[in-house]
Amino acid sequence: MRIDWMDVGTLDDVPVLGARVVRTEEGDVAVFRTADDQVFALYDRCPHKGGPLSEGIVHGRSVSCPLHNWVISLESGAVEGPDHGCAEQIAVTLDGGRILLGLKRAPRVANA
Amino acid sequence: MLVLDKVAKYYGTGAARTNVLKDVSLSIAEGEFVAIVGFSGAGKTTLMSLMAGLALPDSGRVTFRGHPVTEPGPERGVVFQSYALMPWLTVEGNIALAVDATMLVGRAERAARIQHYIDLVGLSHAKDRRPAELSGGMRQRVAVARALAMNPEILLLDEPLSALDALTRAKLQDEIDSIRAREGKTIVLVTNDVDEALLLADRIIPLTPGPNATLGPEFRIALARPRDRTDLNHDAEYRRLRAGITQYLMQAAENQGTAADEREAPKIVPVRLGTRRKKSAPMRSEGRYVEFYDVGKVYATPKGPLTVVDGFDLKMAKGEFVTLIGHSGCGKSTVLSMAAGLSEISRGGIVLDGREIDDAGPDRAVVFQSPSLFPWLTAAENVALGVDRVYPHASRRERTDITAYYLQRVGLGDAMTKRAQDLSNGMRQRVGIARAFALSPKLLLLDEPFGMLDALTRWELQEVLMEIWTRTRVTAICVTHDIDEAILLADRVVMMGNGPNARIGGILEVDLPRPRNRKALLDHPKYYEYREALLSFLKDHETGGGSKRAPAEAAAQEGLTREKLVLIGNGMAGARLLEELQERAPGKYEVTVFGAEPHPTYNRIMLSPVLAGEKRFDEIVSHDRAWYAGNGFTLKTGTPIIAIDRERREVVAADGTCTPYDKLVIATGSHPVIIPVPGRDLPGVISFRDAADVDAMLGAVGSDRKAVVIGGGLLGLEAANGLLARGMTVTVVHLMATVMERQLDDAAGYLLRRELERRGLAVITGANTECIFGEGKVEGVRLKDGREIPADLVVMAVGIRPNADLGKAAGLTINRGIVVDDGMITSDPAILAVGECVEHRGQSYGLVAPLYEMAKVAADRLTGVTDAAYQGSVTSTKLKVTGVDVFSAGAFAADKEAEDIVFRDAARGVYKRIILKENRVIGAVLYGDTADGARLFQLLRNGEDVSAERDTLIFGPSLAAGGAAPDPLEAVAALSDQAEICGCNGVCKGKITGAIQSKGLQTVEEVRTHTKASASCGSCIGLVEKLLKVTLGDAFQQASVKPLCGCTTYGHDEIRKLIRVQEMRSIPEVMQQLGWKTANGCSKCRPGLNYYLLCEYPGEYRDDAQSRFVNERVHANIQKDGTYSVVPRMWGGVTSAAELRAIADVVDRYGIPSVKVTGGQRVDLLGVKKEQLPAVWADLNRAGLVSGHAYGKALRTVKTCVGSEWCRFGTQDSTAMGIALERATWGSWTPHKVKMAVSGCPRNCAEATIKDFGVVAVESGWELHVGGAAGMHVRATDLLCKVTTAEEVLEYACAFLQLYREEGRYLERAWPWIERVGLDYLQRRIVEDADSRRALETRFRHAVSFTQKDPWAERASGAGAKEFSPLAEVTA
Repeated sequence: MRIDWMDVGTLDDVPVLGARVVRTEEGDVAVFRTADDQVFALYDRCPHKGGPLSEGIVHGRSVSCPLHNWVISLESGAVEGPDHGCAEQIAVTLDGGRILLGLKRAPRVANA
Repeated sequence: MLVLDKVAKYYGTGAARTNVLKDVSLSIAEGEFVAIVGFSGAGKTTLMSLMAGLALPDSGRVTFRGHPVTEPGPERGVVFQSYALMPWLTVEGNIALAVDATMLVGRAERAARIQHYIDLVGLSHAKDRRPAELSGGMRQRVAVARALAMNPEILLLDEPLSALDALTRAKLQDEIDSIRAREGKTIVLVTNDVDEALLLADRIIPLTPGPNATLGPEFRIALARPRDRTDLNHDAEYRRLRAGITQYLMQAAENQGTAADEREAPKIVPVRLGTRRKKSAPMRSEGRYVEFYDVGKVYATPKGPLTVVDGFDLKMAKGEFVTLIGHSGCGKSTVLSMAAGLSEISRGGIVLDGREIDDAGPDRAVVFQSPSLFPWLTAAENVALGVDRVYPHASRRERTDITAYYLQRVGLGDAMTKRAQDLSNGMRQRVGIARAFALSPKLLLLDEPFGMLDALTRWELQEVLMEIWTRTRVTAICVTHDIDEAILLADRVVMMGNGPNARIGGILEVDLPRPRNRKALLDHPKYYEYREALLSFLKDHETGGGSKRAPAEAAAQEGLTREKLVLIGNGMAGARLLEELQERAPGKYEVTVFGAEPHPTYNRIMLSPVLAGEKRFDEIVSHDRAWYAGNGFTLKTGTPIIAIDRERREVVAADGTCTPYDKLVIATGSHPVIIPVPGRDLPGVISFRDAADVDAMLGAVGSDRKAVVIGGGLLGLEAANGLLARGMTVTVVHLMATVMERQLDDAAGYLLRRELERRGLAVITGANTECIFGEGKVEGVRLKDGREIPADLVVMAVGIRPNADLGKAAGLTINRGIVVDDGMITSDPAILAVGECVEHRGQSYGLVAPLYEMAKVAADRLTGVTDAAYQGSVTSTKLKVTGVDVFSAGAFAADKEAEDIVFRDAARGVYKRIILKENRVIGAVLYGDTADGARLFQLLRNGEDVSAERDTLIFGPSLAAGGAAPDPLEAVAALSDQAEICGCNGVCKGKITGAIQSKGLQTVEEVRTHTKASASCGSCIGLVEKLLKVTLGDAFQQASVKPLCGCTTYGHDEIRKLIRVQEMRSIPEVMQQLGWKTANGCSKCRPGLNYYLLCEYPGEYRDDAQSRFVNERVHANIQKDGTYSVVPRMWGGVTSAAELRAIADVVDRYGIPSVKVTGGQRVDLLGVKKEQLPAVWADLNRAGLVSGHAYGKALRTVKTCVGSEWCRFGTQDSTAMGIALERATWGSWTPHKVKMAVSGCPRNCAEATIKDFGVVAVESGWELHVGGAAGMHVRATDLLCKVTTAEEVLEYACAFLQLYREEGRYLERAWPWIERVGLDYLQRRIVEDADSRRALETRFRHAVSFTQKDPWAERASGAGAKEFSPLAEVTA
């Protein structure tokens, strides 16, 4: 499947060690930014109880869910540690400071 | 037997002739007891001298058994008021001297006689003591025994008891009476105490006051013997005689009286220096102008703490006069000195006019027994000293008027210009009274003000006091042992029980009309009733004579045997000396410490970090007041010593008090050098020497302001760095070519300069200051080359010079400093000197380590180690500028025979230079990498031959040992046992490793406690830690505490400490410095670090939103569905229709699905979407509603009951209290959530006893409870303490919260924290130690001043907008 890259904003719009949400028809997507300015994207639902991962604390290549502190790998979406599960990943890449999100369908974008 | 016939005596001749005695005729019969009641100046001593044969009459005859008296003889034994004992002989020796003088007897009889007289005066237990070890009463007993041992036929007693306290006096009176009865001696007693005469004598003859003194009509005392003081009081004959004699004497005195002209008292309001009232006290009433609340005083003694005063409760109305009476040792003077602020209050508190007393101040005037005037000043000048201080705004004229008015009032209108040294005791005390009243004090404190005076002067001064008091109605407390005085003066007489643990034994209301006078009182029927009540109280509390003394007196006696040590200067050297003394011989000396600065001892070298904002002042306090009190040292801060009287062995303080010493230690430190350029006196020119200078500098800082620091030495650069850190534009002007040229060579100086310039400091070297210019305040500095540097602040930091002023004035040998020998002893063997003020072998020091070495030697010498010798110090220096590592030691100037080993690594900014001479290290300069400093300094001090390791010396010990990668542990392991680890405290490696092994120490803190290593500047903490690792090996790891999280091996407490010590200011810095295992921590450690940094650097640390848990970042509570709940603050649980309406509108407008009332008396709006939050908040804000912080590890709610406003049971207004509490504490971040509650009565409807901090009103105040919880774990509170006022509730609450903030671990609720540290620890920090409590409160209020901003309002107006909106919305 071909990925349609979509410009959702700039890297500066996302706080370092933080996340922003992109609203899509498939549900909210959390776009994370790490200390070394890597970006990752996961559907904004914790595999545990559906907590908003975008509100969690980002550390290293992981995020801790704000509801019950499950730790999810940003690189794989997999739950780390003793728990099991996997958050759904979305392709994301940087192009000259712009964040491009790889959604499955070609959409229209409205920057908020 | 003894006859005086028309005797006259005069001094001088011609016009200057003064007739002392005139026409004195007296005949004393065998076995008779005659009392001559005379007053000072009445010629009674002259009369006594005539009878003793010490003087001859100018006319008339004195005969003894018919023979003229021409010289002293053994048949006439004399005891004078001041006892002339041989100081080097014991009691026994002194008495033996008298026995030997009279007769030749066998050895056995001699011994028996000596023992007989010792027993007679009840001194068997003290016969081996020397006079210096005896109390006044005991010395007087020795004098009596000695007179008796001469076996005289007649005993002449010249006011033997007038210098003694009442109880001792009464005992000696009884002894004299029993001697009279048993030995059948003829006795002539001269006294000024009518009651004493009435108790003892057969005949009383008044002596009219001189000149031309003569005997008045005699009074025969036909009272039955033995006479009992209390019984006498009922005796009509006694009363008749007493009134008769008293009135005769007063009449005689009045004939000489002087009339004072009336002056108007100028109407000026005094300025209360340093007594700005912090808060108003609405709960105070006129009936509680002065309140003693459960006041206690505890002294540390070698045998454990001694409670002198216990539970002293007293309320005084404004304008009330209270006298305190009781036996010696009952603590009455202690109470007074606590009220004066001269003695620390161990327990409870004293409130004067709504302000708690914690220090001496001019709102309280004290009149002591001896008025402590400056002898070389006139009466007027002595009074003016005080007047100038409290009326600084009055004109010179007005101040002169005040002085004159009060001197007039005390009858010194004619003697105003007389010097104090030319005044009699009575006149001096009048000056003292005038001075006290002239200060217009809120509270006048009199400590046996007339105890030293003869009865007539006493009476006069009592009248003077009454008169002046009637005009001013100043609230007064007077300690006295004279019951007549107590009744005459007082509205109430407070009778103190016996010490120790003295309490109030009873209070007598004196309902006698005012104005009072003595004559009228003597006739008033109630007067004798009152007198009897007091007499019987004192009698009931009498505790036998001789060895069966009251325990407190015994303790006081013990105190007398201690030598008095006075220490001038409570700086680092002085405090260290005390510490060393305490280590060697605790309690050996009775120590009084005077400090010129108003602070307890602080670590002066750490002023630079304080200036730079890296430390708080209270963090650098090394010895607080509690430390002084706990060790039994009396500390008088803000009390500079102005003179040393070596002859009398006294020091004179600026407040006029004199303090005697046996040993004196001068530790006055140094003065800053002020270069004599024009403009140096301009406002804005500051030196850098003490806390006041730092305050002055901080007062002048501002980001748009400019500072010039004159002096590029250690101090100057630290000052400049500090001001730079405070945001100022700073220029350093330095005379020499390179900075810190005394410590650094050119290369290192250059590197340092470059680094400082990189930081933004301007450095001008080779700059000669011509003048400091400015109109009315400093505007800039002009250099000799014409350059002008604008400045709002000029710091003069060119150096220090020893402060030898006092020593110089006292005539000690002075050169640059006070010259001392190797024992730190000055040219006066009773005076030692330590610290920066001394000059030892031509050398003065300005660094810490030498001071400490001096303190050790001085302490040795003071405790009898006579061979302790100070050898001078080799010093090393470190610059305390964060991030700049500079080390310097020894010599580095060019020397032909010296060789240099130099290492440079320009990329790393490292420069090392070791200077060798004959294969020994003589100097070292390290820049950029100072790890090797300790080892090199060690080599330097030891003078070791380093030829073997010469080649690798510069690379450090690990390479020198041939090792591969440099291992810091190896470097430490390689240090010799003598290597100094802690330079400040002179602790070497061997001592530390020894302590680690022998005491099983595991942590840096334990090492610090046992060895003092790392206790001062803290720069050696890393070394100590490595020593622990090296010494304990793997055991060290095991001993370490539970880590904060998996990212680190450090525990909470270590991390907090290291943040402070290493001055780390951001989360990345902490992680970097402490070797975090993860790149950016985890969700556990980041919020913790964020909190610790926020708490450590309030107002400065920038909160890291990404290290906040979502609720605190978003300022709302996340719910399971990702929506939020919003809880507005309702202060104290009180709301209004308008607020409720606004909430209702918000609910409707935003379709908020659920509204609920919380357990903390708030309204919770549930189900708000994140994007809605700013709008919801904006609407709530409009109605005045702000964030309730229901989402935070923060102060959440203060729950209240309705309290006394509505409730029929309520005792206090709990609602208002709760609101005040919430207003004071909201917005504070805490380790975990904090909930409070206030209940208006013990029914506790607000459930205060399950809160973190609960307040329960009781009839007399508020109970403060801590450590409750009602969550998963239910726990009732512990009672912290009870307080009286609402202000106290706030103060204690703030202190509690701050202590929890500072010492609670992140996510540790208050209750487990309390269980961990113990309730008694909290009580110590918050309840018992008022300084600590106030410091905590101050820090709390400082911290919340930055955070009491509504986070909702900030966000509603746009802050952090990105947080609340999606990055993008994507639609198909």
